[in-house]
Amino acid sequence: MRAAWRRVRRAFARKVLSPKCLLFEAGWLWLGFGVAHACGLRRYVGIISGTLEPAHPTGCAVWGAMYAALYFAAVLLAPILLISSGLALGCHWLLAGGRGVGSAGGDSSGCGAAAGGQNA
Amino acid sequence: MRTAFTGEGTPFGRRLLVCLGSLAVATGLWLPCVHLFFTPDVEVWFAEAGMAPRAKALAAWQLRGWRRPELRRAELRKMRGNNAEWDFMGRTFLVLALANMAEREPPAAPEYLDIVDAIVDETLRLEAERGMYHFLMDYATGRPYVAQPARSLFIDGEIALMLGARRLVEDEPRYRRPFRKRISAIVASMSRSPLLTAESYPDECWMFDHVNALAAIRIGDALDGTDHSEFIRRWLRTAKKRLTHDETGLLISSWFYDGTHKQGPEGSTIWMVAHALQLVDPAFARDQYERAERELVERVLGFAYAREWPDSWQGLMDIDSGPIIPGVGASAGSSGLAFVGASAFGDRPLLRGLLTSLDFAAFPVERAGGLRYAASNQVGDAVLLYATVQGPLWRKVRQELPR
Repeated sequence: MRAAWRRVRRAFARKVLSPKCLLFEAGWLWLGFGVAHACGLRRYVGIISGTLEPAHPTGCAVWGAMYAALYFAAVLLAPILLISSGLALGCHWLLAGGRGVGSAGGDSSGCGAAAGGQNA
Repeated sequence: MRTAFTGEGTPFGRRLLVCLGSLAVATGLWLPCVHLFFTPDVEVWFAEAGMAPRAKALAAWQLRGWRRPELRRAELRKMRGNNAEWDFMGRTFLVLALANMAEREPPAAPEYLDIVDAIVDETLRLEAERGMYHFLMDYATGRPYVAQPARSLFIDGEIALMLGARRLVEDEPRYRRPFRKRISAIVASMSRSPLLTAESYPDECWMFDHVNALAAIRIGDALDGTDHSEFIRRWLRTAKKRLTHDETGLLISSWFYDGTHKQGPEGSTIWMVAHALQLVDPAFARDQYERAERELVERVLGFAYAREWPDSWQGLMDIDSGPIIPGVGASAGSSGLAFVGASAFGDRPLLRGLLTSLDFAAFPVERAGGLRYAASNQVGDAVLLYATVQGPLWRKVRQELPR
């Protein structure tokens, strides 16, 4: 049980808490919004004023809500993740006593893999 | 550096603390700055004379909608599928906006008046062919009007406003008779009730429609030299005594025909009411605006929005309020119409805050010199356009009214 909990904690720390992961999370949000925008989902955000396409009200509401959520995430959340990535990087560097440049043999955070990068 | 980048080697607890601490600091840094990316120059939207660039862009989109039938059909289908009233109110606000634009840009007045005439003629034709119910929500046919013959003050008041606005810019003879008939019908139907009120829907009276109708009556006084000041004084006395919300001093939004309050003050009503009252009782208009501003406007981190209800009265989300954002209570209907109030009373700080919210959360779409908001619809954009150009028409009425 303790070992399983430790594994979960380690995975959480790697996949969510590291500066690199925060950076990738911001990147994913921007990418998601960019894709939604390129797909033309902006036209469905009439849901905000209660104006839906009468022929497909549910579809429009879902696409509109998804676009709005991605937009607000890209504008509000992603910059916070980006800034906190920089702050956390600085903190970790200070906690390591200013050492650590090139001290790790590879990236084991898991974020790089998720983003298509290498994962040692 | 790579170790620091991945956080490797830092104990879990410390890593969690660093992450949460960084997120908290980043939130504190970012959120107060967001508005800086959306705060516009108010002068780009509102001009004392002529038209500001953004107002022109809004107008370009609206005019394109009236010139290109396929665009108009698509927009109408969407609006009427949700609320037939939007079709009607979109006409009213566009006509009011175009009349103000004609006053602001005299060389372009013939072009604007052509579109005003097209809108007015089509509206009158549709009303004549399909009846007033064409522009009302379906529940209007659910039961009979208390006062007979049935008339809707919503329809009469706004048609009178459209005709009056057209005549104020240039007194087209063919609109004189329909306008005077409409004003007579409004006064007659309001006079039938001891409260001087008339229904918009069966056993439903709306403040929005009453004050618009009174503004139309004042326009009539200015145009035709009639004098309804005693009628208006009596109405104001009744409204201040019987149709006011005790806790806020704001006019309520709706009541039953016998005068029993139905809904308390609402943002989607009060902003336009305060503006229309400027033709009826300027001091009372300012009082209502200032109360509404105090009770309904919220300012957060450089953004401003309007709530639909004051703290002392809670209503249900409906087609007028539009969706309400839970937690903050921001209402699309109230915030949209707050532009009209803020513009009419020259409240630049509120306009700046509202514009910031608009560009942040209403999804502007700019194409071929035109501007619209994807989160809005034709009526919402027409209200915004009207807010950006209003002024000259009301000034003209005040100048032409007998002292």
